[in-house]
Amino acid sequence: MAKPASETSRDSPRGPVWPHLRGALLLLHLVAITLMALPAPVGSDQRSNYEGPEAEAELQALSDGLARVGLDVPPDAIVDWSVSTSARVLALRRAALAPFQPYYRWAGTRQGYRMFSAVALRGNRLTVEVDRGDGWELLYLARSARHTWRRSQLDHELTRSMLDRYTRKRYRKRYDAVTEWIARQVAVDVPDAERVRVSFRHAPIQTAAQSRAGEIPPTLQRRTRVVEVRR
Amino acid sequence: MIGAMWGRWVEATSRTEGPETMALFRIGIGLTLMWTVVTAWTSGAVDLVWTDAEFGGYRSLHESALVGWLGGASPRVVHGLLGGSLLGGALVAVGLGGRGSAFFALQAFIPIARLNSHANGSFEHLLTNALWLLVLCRATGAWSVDQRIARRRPPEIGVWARWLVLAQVILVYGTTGLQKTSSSWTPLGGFSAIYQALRDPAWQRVDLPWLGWLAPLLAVSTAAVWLFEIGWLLLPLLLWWRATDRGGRLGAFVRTHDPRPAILAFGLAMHLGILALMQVGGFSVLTLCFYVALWRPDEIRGWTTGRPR
Repeated sequence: MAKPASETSRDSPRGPVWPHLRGALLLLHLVAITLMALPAPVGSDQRSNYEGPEAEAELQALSDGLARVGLDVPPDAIVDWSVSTSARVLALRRAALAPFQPYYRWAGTRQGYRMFSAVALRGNRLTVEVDRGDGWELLYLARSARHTWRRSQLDHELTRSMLDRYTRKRYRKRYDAVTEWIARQVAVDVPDAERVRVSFRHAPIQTAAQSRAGEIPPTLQRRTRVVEVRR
Repeated sequence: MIGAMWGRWVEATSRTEGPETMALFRIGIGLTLMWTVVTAWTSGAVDLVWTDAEFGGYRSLHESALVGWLGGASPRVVHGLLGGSLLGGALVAVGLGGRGSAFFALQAFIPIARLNSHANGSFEHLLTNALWLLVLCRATGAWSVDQRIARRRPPEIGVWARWLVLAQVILVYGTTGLQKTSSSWTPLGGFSAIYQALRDPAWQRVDLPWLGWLAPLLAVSTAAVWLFEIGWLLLPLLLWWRATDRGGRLGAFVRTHDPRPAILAFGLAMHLGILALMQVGGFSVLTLCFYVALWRPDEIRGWTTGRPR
């Protein structure tokens, strides 16, 4: 390896073995972090992750692309293949990572990056409403400049990460627990609150063409949950 | 053959250089840790996501053995660990306590980062990775309280420390790029990924309903970002060409035209854009800290003394 003039080679003050040991340890570190970071189909071995409009659109696009090169593979067959292959790959990955698990745990070297690998086609905005006995009043709407109850708490990236996950059906129980927590906070902040309604305002993300035309896609309320306020 | 390769590896990892690059990295990481802790703390998100249901949170949190051993994720324990992380971050930033302060910061922050796997971003792992690198090397050899107290010539540190920082950031970008496989990152989806990400309420800082007018520009940005991320996998080759007379015409080109300022400029534009338009925590600032490893200590020393190398 080429050595720039600014680098110095010198004998180790810790004896002749240390440079070899250090070289081996550095190599192990590089192997550990590389194995952890290598692309892996995490979650692709579960059929539930192929449900929903984004996944279905991706599968259809892939099926159409294969059809254009003469391969007739329907979306269901792609899912079957992907689930079984992912399960095998993930089993192999688990075996490869097993010897390094203590290192990941104690040195904090766990790293896997799947950032924005698939972007959403639909968006969800959390809404919190309160009923003081005369109808629903909007307290919080995610990304709204007007309805800003506990905004710093609910807009923080940690909370966003959690809520984004809880828009999925399989986290229903966790979502319910969050709504209970929100109701408890409303009870503290709004002394005359009787009921709290928590839901997601769900809508397709405006396409670029819709954005230019000023078209607003239809919105649905999802995961609506009403909690009686207990004091 | 293997013996010769091993000999070259041992020789390369035995080389030393000045401490300035790792000192800058240390300062950046310390400040980023402090920022991460302070924003989580002051926002109140801690009470929701990092507090056990038994103590007022929304769910049971049993994902950290240390927190369990301390009695569970009560406000006292969680705030104690956050305080430890904040103190650790400050010690790392000012360079007091050598590797010990990095180890302390790391061990205080790891339980927090693992407390609720439903509420985290990947950047916490990158932050703990960075702290571990600061445990491995002597990053307090320059611009540190330790160095002021010792009043000695800045020590030489292993050049491998800077290489590990580079390896980390190459993995971050390279593997992120390789995993961007959805059609919106390709012509099939009209290179719409960045437009869609900026319009997704889950991550946007504010909604920009007029963004459709910039769709062509964002499509070009989508392709450019993907190429930039994948391109980091070629960085070792570029740096090797710059340090040798290899690489033919391409090698000669990168020796006469330093690609690092262009890499930094693109990375800065991308990460400042993310910071301004999306709420993803300290990810952008943290990642930019790794860029410092593109420059050798003698080059950084040259800037600070006004004598560029």
